[in-house]
Amino acid sequence: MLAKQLTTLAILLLLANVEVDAQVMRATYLIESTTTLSEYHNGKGELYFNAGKSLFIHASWPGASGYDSSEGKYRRVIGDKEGMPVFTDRKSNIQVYKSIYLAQKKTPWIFEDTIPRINWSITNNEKVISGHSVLHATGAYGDRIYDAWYSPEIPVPFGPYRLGGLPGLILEAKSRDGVVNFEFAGFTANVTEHPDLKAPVEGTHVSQDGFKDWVIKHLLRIEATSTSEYQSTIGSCDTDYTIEKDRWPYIYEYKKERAEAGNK
Amino acid sequence: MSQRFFIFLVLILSWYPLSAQSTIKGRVLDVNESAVGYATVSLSTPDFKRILAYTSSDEQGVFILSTDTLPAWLIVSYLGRRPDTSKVNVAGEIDPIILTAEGTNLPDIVVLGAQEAMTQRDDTTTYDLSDFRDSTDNRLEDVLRRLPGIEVDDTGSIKVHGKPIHRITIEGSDLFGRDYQKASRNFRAKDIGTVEAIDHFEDNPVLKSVNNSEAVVLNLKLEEDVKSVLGGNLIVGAGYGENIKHHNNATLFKVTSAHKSMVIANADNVASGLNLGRTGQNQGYTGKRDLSVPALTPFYLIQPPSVDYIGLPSYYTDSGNAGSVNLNHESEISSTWKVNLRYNLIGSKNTQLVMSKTETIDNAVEYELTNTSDWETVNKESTSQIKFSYLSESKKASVEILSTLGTSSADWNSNFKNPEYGVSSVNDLKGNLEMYRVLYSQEYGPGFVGQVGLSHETNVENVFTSYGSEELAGFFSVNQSNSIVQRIDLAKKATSLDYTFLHQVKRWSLGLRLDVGNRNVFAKQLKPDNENTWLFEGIEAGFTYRYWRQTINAGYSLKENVDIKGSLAVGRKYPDSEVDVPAHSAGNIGIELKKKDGGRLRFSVFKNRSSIDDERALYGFEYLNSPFNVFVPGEVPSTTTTRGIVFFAEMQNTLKLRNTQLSSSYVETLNDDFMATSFLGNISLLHLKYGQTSRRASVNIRHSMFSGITKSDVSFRAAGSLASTNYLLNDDFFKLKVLNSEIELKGSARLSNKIRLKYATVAKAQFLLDNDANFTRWQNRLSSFATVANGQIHGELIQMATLQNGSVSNNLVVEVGADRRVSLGNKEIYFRFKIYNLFDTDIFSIESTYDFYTFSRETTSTGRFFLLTADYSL
Repeated sequence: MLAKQLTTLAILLLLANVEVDAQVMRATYLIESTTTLSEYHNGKGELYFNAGKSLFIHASWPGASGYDSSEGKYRRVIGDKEGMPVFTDRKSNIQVYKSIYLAQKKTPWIFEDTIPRINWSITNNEKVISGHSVLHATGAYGDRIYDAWYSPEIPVPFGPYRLGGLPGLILEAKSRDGVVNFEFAGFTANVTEHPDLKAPVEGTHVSQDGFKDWVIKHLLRIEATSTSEYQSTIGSCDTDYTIEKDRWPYIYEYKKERAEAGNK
Repeated sequence: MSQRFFIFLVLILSWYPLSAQSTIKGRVLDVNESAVGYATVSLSTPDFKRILAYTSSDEQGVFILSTDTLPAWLIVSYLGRRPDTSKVNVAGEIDPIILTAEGTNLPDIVVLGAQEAMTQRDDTTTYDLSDFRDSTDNRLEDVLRRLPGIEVDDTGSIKVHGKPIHRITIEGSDLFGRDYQKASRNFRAKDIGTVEAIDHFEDNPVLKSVNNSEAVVLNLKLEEDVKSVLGGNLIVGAGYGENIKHHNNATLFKVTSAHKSMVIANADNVASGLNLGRTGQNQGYTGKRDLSVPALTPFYLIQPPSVDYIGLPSYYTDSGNAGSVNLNHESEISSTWKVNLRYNLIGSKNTQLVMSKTETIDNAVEYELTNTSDWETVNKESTSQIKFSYLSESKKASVEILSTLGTSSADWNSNFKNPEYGVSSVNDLKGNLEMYRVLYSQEYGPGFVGQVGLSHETNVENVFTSYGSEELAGFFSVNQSNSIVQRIDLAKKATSLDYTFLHQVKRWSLGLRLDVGNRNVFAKQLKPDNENTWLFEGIEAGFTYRYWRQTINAGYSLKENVDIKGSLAVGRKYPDSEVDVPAHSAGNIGIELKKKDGGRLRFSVFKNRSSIDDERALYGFEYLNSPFNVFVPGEVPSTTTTRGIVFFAEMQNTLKLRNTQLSSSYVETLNDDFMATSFLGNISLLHLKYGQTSRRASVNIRHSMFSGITKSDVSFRAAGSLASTNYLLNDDFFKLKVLNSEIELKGSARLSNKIRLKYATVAKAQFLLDNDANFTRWQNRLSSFATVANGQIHGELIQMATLQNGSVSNNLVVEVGADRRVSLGNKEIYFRFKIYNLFDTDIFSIESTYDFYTFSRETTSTGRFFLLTADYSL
């Protein structure tokens, strides 16, 4: 108990000699997922944060678009120099993030939502991760149940990707279906070189409603190129395309509605 | 009644804790009574084991919590402030919580969990260089040496998974071909973000479905801030020692998704190591088809002298002027076409004075060749290569068209003196290479690929040597002329056509290849006009032959990550001459197991039966390799059979950053002939015969590890071998048995926050069994770096000693220097001042041994000198 308090004191004291808002910290994660985009999500993730803002970056995401011929495979890559970031601002209650689903002209989409409210249940379990005492919580996000371990010694409601809302920094989070795993890989209390804690700018800003409209119109444009011999369409998005399950159901829902309307 | 009931109700209820939701409201302020927004507020059970509720304060610092359990502890915390813990007994509004901040100079705390410095995914091991490099690592090669599982030798050749790498690529593109040291020695460590070691590398998309490549490649991924901008660095330096010193270098690169360029220009007389040396020297992995690698090898009949480094860093013995320009470029000129350009231009002028002694004993007779050679060489070489690549939109067809032109020349003068007489020589060597290749690849269907290749190549060398010595001429001359002139013209031509069929279905892979070709080899030794020697009879020799060769490769996956592979090749040559050249055959079979963590096990057996090297059959004339060394032709030998077993195991732990490799082999080479030497006074005559019967068993262990906390690394290697070789010396037959052992320990360690140490120690011992002869060599290199404000102070001590049959030679050199970093806007310049050979050692000596010869060499040093350089990074 005493050791825990002293550790907490040490961490907080060393942070106290600079302006709080200027001081940026970094938590590093090892991302392992089996989603369709795991090739780009997986690898190192870095969360930069201060008391009010956070920026999560996929450090392994390719920076440039083009063709990737590594690992004996060859595929088209939509790169993002900003590392497919997730920006969270507590004051404005917004979270800005990117997606490459149906991205055009090699640039990702930029979305802005309110910070997701995850209904966490904090349990009695605790353990130690690299000298940090962490507490256990479970919660649902993106249609997956997560087991998260957070550190009350780092009192910010942030975590990897879009996870957060606990009374401490999430150091580890795993989905119970085994698809998503964020493993703690390091923490630096005073980062001297870091990206600006601000919303991403490289991409195409779009609202959720606007994107849904665009997807349907894009589908219809593609289907309009069909001939008597060849049917053009866009397939439904894979349910595990990204970390949030069934993130992009627009085409599936539209086709279902269309089929039902056709049967009537 | 109601009063009694009421009292009863109160008594009953008093047994139970309050179960209704209680609301606690408060406000968080700082010492100045300003609101602290977004502070974390939580309620915990008195034993702190359970969080009852939590929230954040709003912008006004206000928070509201609801709980059904009181009393409880209220914990309010905020980054950079001392947390407040207080007990709450009743619900309602509590006094404001004041959070204080206290300044302190505590260092950053780095809490380490599972480091992702090194990861393994399928066939790729990825290293995050930011986790490995430190301020003392300048070039990429400095960091590569420290990566677990990667081995870099003194020449810069790299091995991964126990195999020589095929290439270093930049963002997936091959700019440098076999000369990958241009990347590893010229890229700055800070410009590279990650290094991927990719096994089974195949860069032709048409072959993806039938990928059976065993090549390993290092792929460099640049840091984001140097992508798509002009990157690199400029070095300007000057100094003084025995003469004026200079060092100038420009390394510029720009890498975008469509265009990749790197230009390296260097001029110095301090043997900086950035001068590129001869192109195509790096052999690398030879199992993968490579259009840029010539099929014809240089003749190496007579070679210009090269600087003898005595095992020390080159700048201690090499003060020659050297300059080079190297251009490597790749562009996507359309969605289907790509062009690669490479151009090298190298020039150097070197001189050296070497005192050497060669000794051997035959039947109690001691032969000793002692001479002093003082030589000067001017080398020039240029190579240009252009390759067009086409890949169809469907990725099912590709064409590669390559053209290479190269010229080289070397002019050297040397003076030899031995105790009896002196010889001066003038030499000239010129070479030309032309190569044209086309390769067409087509996927017929999933798992079916065919390739057709066409190649034409010519290689021409002209050698002129003139030795002036009355005494030497007396050995060979009938006219007592005081000079010997030899002129030899050599030429090779090769034309070939090949067809390859590759098929992959389920667990099977199959490859069939048929090569047919025509080769012409020609040599002409000009008869001197004055007929002043019986040695040179003016021979013209050459032959042309046709050949075919068929190769079958097959592979089977027993299960995931367990592969059995084998190959069989047979071929025959059909010469036009009377020389009967028997069939060639080669076969091997092996099994490989791979684990997901990168560990692997490889076992293979092989047997090759081949006829003589083409050119050797030509050497039917005597020629002088040097004034004291004559090659005498021998009989054309029969076939050589080589067979052996190779074992390799690797264990890797990406979490703990460790790698262990164990390899062993036994190889037999069976040939009826012997390496033969005889002596004619002080001149050795090497009877040129092909091959020897030899047997060699070896074991090699290597362990490397890296600590992410201190960025320290250590690698340990131990090797041993026992070899048996047949020799013929003056008609006496020898079976020479040699036991070799080697131990190497190197790495770097952080002694404190500001002091780092780098070390390398190598000990080699060689014992001639059934003989008293032994030889030991021990080399140490110790470097220390102390970080001071905006710079470093460094010192280096290099020591090399040899011990041979009780005779010791020892060399010790010391370097000291200081660096200073100066900011120029958002750029930096590193100024470096360094003194080399601090104690001005003027002579270096070394003993070495080769079979039953011992060699002693002494060479003059470049002397003490200083150098001041400015290194500007773009």
